[in-house]
Amino acid sequence: MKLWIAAFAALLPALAAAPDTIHGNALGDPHAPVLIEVFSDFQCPGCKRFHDEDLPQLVKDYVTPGKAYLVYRYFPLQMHPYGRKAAELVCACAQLGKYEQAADLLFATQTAWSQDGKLDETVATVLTAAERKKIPALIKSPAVQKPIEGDLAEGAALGVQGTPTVMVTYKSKRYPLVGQGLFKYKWIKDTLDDLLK
Amino acid sequence: MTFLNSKSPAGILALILRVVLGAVFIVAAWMKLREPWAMFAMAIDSYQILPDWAVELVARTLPWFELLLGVWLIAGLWRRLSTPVASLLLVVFFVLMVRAMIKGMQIDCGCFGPGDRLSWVTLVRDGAMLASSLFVTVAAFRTGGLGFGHPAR
Repeated sequence: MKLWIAAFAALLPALAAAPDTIHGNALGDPHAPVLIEVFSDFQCPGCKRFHDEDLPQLVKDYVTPGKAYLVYRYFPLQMHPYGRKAAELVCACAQLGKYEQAADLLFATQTAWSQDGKLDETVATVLTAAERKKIPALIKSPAVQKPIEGDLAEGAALGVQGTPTVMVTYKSKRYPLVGQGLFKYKWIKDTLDDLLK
Repeated sequence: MTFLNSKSPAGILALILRVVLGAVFIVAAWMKLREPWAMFAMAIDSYQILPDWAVELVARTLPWFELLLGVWLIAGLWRRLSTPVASLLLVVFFVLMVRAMIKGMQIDCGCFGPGDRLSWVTLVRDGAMLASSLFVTVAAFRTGGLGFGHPAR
């Protein structure tokens, strides 16, 4: 029995990393019929609008009832000078179990830190003193760099050119939802309802 | 079966192009109709031209119209009506695509279902279709019905 437990414990990290690089940046049931991936940049105004207005609706209508599994994909654009750093900070917070707090805060204060670049100070408000000390090392670690690079590579392979880009996967088929940053929730809802009926 | 009478090279080319155009319209319609209609609505909306109600109307009806037009072109009935309709539709598509390219919009073309990004490739493809359609339209008007070589009266 001990051997089984030891073997299982040894396998756990591999199992966690195997399906994806998701760590804290997902919501809902991984076995839900629909997978929704949001390729987003914390410094992108369209992403902020999507995060503030559409995402709560999406969570309420599809993620909470178990119809969809939501995954945030880090996709910092080169045109945004603080996009990458914001993604690294949020990903580091995700390793500490504080993805949602950090992501919500960065989108809420986007205008301010986009101008003054005070990202560390902003994110620090959702962390304890002990957690703050871990952030610099975490940012340099593969635990943070690998998911971001992985998401960027995946997005590039899928032809993601801008943010936010929403990919819906249903029955192994991926559907890109496009909107030039002007998503209209009613059409996202119609699409998901059509797929799920 | 009068179109078989057109034996000039230009007439044969017009016949081939008309059938190919019809097939392309059918494929384009099928690729949109097999996906949720709202995905096409989002593709249309990304051009930022129409109000929401018009976007929904176009998204729900255009694929069916393309399907009918494709069948109509292949059937070869009333070609002096079907070919200008196809050309007009392709002119509209082409102008919208050029406008989006000039404005630097990184959007889906919406031509053949989701995931078809607007690019120079899609522009050349649509331009080739438009040129073919114009050729077929001219052919329809220059003949009694079907090819070159039989001037319309």
